[in-house]
Amino acid sequence: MTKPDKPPYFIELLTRDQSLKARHRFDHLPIRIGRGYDNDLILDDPYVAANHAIVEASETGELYLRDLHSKNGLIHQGKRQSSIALNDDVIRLGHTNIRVRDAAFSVQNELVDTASHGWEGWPPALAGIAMITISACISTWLSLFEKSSAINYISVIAITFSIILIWCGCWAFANRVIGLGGQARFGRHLFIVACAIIIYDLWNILSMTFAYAFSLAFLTRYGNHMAMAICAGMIFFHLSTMNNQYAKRFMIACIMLSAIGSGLILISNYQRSGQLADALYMTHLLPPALRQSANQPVDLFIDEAKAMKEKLDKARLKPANHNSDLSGD
Amino acid sequence: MKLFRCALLLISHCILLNPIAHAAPTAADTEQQATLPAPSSRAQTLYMAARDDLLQIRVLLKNGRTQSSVGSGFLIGTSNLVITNYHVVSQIVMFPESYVGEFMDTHGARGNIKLLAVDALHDLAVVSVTRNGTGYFKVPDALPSLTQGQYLYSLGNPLDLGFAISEGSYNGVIRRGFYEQLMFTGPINAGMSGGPNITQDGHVAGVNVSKRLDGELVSFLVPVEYVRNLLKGVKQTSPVAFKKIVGQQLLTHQNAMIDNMLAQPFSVKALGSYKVPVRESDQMRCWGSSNNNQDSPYNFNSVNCAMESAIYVSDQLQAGQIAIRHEYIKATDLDSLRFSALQSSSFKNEQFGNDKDASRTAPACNEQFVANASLPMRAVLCVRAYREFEGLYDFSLLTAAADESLISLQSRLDANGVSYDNGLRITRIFLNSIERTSSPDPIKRKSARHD
Repeated sequence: MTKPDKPPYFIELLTRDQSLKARHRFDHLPIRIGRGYDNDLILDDPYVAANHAIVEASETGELYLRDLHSKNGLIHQGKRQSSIALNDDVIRLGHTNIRVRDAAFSVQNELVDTASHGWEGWPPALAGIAMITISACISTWLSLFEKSSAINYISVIAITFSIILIWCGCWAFANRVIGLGGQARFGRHLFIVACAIIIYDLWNILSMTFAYAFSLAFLTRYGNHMAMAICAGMIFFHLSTMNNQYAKRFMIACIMLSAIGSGLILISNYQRSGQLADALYMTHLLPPALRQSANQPVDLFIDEAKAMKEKLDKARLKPANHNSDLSGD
Repeated sequence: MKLFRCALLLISHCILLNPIAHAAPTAADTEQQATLPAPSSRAQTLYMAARDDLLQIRVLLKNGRTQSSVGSGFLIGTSNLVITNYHVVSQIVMFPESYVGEFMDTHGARGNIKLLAVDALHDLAVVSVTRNGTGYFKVPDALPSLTQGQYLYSLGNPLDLGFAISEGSYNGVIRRGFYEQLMFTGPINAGMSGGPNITQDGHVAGVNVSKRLDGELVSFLVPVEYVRNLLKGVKQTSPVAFKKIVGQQLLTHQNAMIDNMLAQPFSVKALGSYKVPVRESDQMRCWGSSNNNQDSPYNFNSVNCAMESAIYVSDQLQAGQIAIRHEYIKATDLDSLRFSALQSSSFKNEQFGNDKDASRTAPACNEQFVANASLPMRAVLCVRAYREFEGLYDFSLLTAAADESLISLQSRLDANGVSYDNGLRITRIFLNSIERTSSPDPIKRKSARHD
């Protein structure tokens, strides 16, 4: 620092990851630091000497910190020094990290507020609850063919919510503890999960409809990758809700996560069934009125099946994917 | 109730056949626990006369020479040829690099065996041993004629406990399998496979082969004429590639089986507004079932046809089986969306095998919307190749009629161990045989249904 420092001065106590624990204001120099009660700043750290260090101004008016012959000294950037010119760096005394700033310290510009403050708390939570309830009810309704009663729906909803509440609770806790702003934002996290579920439902409906209508079996046979991408997207929004300063980093991490997940899906599919698709064939049937594609004549279907012979004859010469001789039966 | 049938006499080797629904309940099967008559003096005499030519056949792991499966066998005439079951020595056929065989006679003497001939279709094998027979068991050109009810005696080494003779009666020729067998109402146990079954006069009637696990004393014999046929071709020099020979036999078998099956068109059963192909014959039985539930919002009917036997090839592989299944579901109180979910859950619940099977490849599938003369269908055809046998495949065809939103007809055809041409042939005929009986105009019916 070249400019002379001016009062008041502030000593900030920091955690190991450099977030602020406490800030003390001093109007005059020198500032004595140590464990003893004759100091200006008392540090309750058993590794700090009774009179550990002192902040003074040099002849040119710059601040520096001087070691008062303590046992553990002053550690700056990993090195012990007897005297350190203060320039916004973190200095360690014993197990305590401190930073000294003066009134002339210039702070960064304020962030532009992009958060929608109305969409916090109950509104997103209620919207999320409604979306999840609707999704759970529809999927239960579709899967209960026999006579159903309210208890069927209630139990599905209860199970769904207990899982989702635990999930959102974890995010809210993390948000409260390490998130920017230190709030839980539970409603937001619940809404994010609800959106992911609705998007997954919509994808399922659309992919199944298109796959059946146009005989595009691949749409449903690789559906797990879409589920993985939606899951990664959900985690991205959870993370950005916690701290939107790192959105870009989070996005890269989530894209990587999604790619790794897809890779694992492909590997496990190949291990299990000898092919990359999730299912061997398109497993759903819909009302025939949806169909758009033309029917194939039987002869053409058989001709296409003829072409599989070559592939099978090649495959039989390769060893089995798994040595089932050992597993017995 | 499900029926399982077991190839006997292999201690650890059980042939499980396709379960068939609804076996006739066996009346009074619990009240009489099959009390055996005391052995007659005839059995005593026969055992004393036959025991010198009776052997136990063991299959051992080459590595460590621990036994892997045991069966029985008998020396023919004064030769060094021994008859046993194919399934007793199948491990030597399939994995000659890992397994060897040995024999043990009633005096405890042991020696090596050499495989000379196999007949996988009738479940017979000929091995040579290091000693000769005394001439007790003869397989003459003129075979003994059997009358129902006459006494027969099975010899062998049940459960590796020691040599034994059991008495029972002859009850005719059974044609449930593709190859005929004799029904022997007497006890045959695991380990007696390959042992001889003789008449009171000491003539060989057949070879112990299997029993029904769901019955009492319902046992089966391979008729002696197939023993005779197999012995005719035996040479003392052992061919090396038995797997190839079995493969040839399986190919011959499937040709005969498919030709026989397709010699006449499938018979047709009516399921609602559809006609579906089935086959009922001596070898194939059909069973029906329905949900019979008044409260259920849909009706469910199914027809299941399957062969009750298959050709045992190895522990993991049975070939030459055909199965046909039809499921008809009609909504009575379901909307089309939920009905779609219902029929999807049934369509989804199908197995075509995976890639972890040592005997067959992973399935390769072709799926399409296919239409025959009267009906559009979603069709999935999955084929697997046999790793050990060139030219043999498992064909599985799954179809779902795609003409109605509140009626579902799903069919499955399985043809195991068939050539590619035969597989395609039966698939094509099956696809063309599923029919819609009433007018195929869905829109008209849709409005009619809401009346």
